[in-house]
Amino acid sequence: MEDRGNNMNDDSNLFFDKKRNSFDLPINYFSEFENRLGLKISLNEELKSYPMLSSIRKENIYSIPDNYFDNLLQNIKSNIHYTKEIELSFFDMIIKVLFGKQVAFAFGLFFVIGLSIYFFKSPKTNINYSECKTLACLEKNEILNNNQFITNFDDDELIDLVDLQQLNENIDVSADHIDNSNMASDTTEKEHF
Amino acid sequence: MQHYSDEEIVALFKDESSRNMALHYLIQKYQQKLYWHIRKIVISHDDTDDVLQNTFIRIWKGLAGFKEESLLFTWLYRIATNESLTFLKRKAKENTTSIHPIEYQLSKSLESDVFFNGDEIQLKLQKAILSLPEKQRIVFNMRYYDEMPYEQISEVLGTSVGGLKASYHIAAKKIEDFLVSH
Repeated sequence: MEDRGNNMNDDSNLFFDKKRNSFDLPINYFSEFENRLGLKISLNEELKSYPMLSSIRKENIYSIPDNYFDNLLQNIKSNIHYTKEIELSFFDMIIKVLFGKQVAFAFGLFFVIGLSIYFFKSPKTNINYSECKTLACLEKNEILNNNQFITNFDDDELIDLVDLQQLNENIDVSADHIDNSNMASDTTEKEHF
Repeated sequence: MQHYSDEEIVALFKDESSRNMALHYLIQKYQQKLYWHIRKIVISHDDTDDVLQNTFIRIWKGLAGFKEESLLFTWLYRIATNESLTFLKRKAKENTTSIHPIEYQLSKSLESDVFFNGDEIQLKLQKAILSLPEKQRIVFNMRYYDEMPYEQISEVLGTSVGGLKASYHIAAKKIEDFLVSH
């Protein structure tokens, strides 16, 4: 019995090997079959309320040129290739514009103009002349504000700018100092003799 | 030809070395479905050809970033629908000489279309469909001709299933009235 059973198994394997199914099915055909059937039934149910519409046979009433789908794949591929080329050339154009000689020149020019505007508009030091008491201070202020200003001064104007009271005090102090030192030198000379 | 699942096609496309092959399988698998979907919206074959090519170019550009949150099939349909509607809007804008709405122009072009093979009752049905508002027309076509479940239509158009059911029945009622009265 065992031998016979084995033989039968061998025969059935041989049977399936020789008569293999050569047909192909769409993916998930049987697993989705029930859903498709249910959908078909519900579609028919929906149309029952519309007798005129449901009496019209559903058919494809549009046609297409011969071999349209055979050529479509190639047409789409060449279109995509063309689009890629356009995108690439657009990218190249941007690179050329960004790094071109004209842009470099324009950038340099703008840089120089911008720098000039910056220095031209930068705030200047405003100095109150009334606070200036000495000629040294005046010179410094004049250099900061206007180089030409001091060169146009005449002697009288220069004298006006000098604080006379301070000058007199300084002169008095220095005169006293000279007198005192003279007196001191006289006494030492007298002591010598 | 070898059958590839949507997941396999997307995986192939995301790998740069097999991108062209993936595009090839994708076009082979969906060209007819998308063609007929677009054709029912824009009617003329030449316009459909333009829109279909633009649709695949958009798919090519966007598929690498496809997040697989929705089915590939519904994503493709959504792109095709948007491209078709954009095309119709552009066509309506360009045609400033006509006082009639775009639906009327489509209906008229159908009569003279050499690629229309329908008989009188089919022509009447198409005219009835073209008399519908744009959204109702798309819903009706997807349900009646493409026999899509409401859940899928909902994913494509971003409308609730309840809203779609109502929209389909209103459209069917209008078509029925049109067929009876004409």
